[in-house]
Amino acid sequence: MSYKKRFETLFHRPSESFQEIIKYPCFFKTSLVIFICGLVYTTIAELGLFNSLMPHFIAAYSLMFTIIWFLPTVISMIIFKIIGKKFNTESYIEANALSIFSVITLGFIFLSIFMIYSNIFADPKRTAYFAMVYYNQWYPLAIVGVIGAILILHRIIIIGRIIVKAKLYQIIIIWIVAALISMYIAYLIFRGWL
Amino acid sequence: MKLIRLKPYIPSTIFIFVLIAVMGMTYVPYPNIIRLSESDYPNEYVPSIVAPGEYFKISTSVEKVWVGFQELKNEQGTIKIPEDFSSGWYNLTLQINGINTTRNNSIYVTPISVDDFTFIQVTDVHTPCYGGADVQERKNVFNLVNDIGPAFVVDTGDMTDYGLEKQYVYYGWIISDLEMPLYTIPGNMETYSDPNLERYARHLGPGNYYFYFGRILFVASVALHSPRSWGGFDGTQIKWINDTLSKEADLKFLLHHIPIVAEQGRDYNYVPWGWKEGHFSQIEEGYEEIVKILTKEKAYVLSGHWHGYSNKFQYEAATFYNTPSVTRMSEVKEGPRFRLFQIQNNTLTYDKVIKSEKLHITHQYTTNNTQVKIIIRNEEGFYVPLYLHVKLSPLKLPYSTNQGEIIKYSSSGDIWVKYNAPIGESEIEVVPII
Repeated sequence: MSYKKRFETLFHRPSESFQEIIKYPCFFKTSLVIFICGLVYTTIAELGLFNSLMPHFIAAYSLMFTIIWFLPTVISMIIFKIIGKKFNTESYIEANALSIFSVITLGFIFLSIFMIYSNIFADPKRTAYFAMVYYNQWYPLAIVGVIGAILILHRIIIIGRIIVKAKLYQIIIIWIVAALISMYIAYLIFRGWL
Repeated sequence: MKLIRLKPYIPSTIFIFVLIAVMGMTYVPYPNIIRLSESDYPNEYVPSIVAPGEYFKISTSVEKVWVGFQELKNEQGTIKIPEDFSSGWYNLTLQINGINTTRNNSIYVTPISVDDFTFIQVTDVHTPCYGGADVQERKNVFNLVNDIGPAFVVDTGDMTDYGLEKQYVYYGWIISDLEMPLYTIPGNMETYSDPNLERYARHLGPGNYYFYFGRILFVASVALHSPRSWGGFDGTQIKWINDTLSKEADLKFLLHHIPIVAEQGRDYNYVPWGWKEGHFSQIEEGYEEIVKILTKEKAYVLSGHWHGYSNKFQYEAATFYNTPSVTRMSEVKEGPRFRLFQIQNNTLTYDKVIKSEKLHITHQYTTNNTQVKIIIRNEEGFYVPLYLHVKLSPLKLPYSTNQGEIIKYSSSGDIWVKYNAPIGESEIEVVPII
């Protein structure tokens, strides 16, 4: 299996990618690809959402998208280690990163379509943020968000089963705890600071 | 050997640090907000509003004063507007050290009495960067504001969506038909692409200033942390507010974008550091000092920022108004909102939120412009005090009205009718007496 195949967890059985990651973990390279793509996504999204490029928001939104997967991944990993599970840390983080990255890419594609429509073809023309927040045009993206969330949940369970070799109930409980803690920390950063 | 095991995490660690560093470097804790000195008043951004026969103040260093083309007597910085001055805008020319300087549209002679007047607070207009229906909707709101006929209008920030140049241009068009003065302060949105508020100052002037209407003091203040939604007051700003709010007045208002005290925290409700003894505040630095000043001065604070949130909250001796937005929001689907205040004999008697889609004022002039019928449809659920301005042929003066009271007319045919619009539909006719 080629390295780039592991980025295609959205289009084939994700367990194939995860088996590959267990054998040849490479979070260094994968994280570079993810962060560069993430910056490109955020920059394009800024243009479509706000019609303006503002460095602090590129940084803030990039940080937000990093936090929403990185924090629960690290917290869940620590809890799994505490309860005595033995697994490769790098594989676990890389598998989670790839799972969310594929879903974020899917969301970005839909957002791009919406941004192009909203900024160019809609009548009246609106920036995407304006259309979503002030004119309630966020339903199509919300549907994509729900689909994305289901895909991520599916992958979390597979990662837990294949890499951590945990039981289903352990995966569910630990991820609920990790997600709640992370969501609150992200909320504090983005509502309490920004 | 162990350090090698950390190699996979180097890019992510660097990435997160770089993001935090960029956020830190682009953070401007206190934008370069302009405070006017006494000699700067009045000016085109902070005009003096004065009724005929009433006074306005200028710097004592001014030697001679012209309002329009008429030189007026300067009694140690106090200028009386003669009774025969028509309502409208006037340039102000000041002679200081023998040199004349003219400040355009710096005096507004109002037809409305300081003993009984209304003013309107608009907030969070969020002018978008494309024209069309969204900008037109905002223009319609300001046209309605104009028709209600307040003595003046205050805009408590977020007039643009990100502070972009083209948004200020559209905002300029939106407010262009207002007949009365508009006083503005920046909101956090203005700092998004303009962290030091330089573009804001170029278009809308200073952020910190004060003005009087009769014996009522209005202080406009900026306490923003670019580009954050939270605010704070540094020591200089606290001192400026304290000095300014302690000026002599019967009622005192502070105009401020971010809520200083609110009953609820909206979607910030779960931020623990926003909660203070039973209420919420989005102010960090200087919170205790500002609340102490507001309480001491028994001030009324007018804020926006939270769009769908409409609230009046009494905290100790100060009163905090949170006014909903002109821009639509998910929770305000029906249409734009603003707040109408009425002050009678230096007492605040009316403070209602107007739902723009529930109030309609239509003027029907006859073809020779000698009569007008004003049709008012009021579905707000309460009466609305109006100061209706009509312009009729001066040849047919004087005029009378079948409802309300003509409070002022000029030789040019400008007539102002005071009328409390009841719930439902009502009609006013202004016709020549003969």
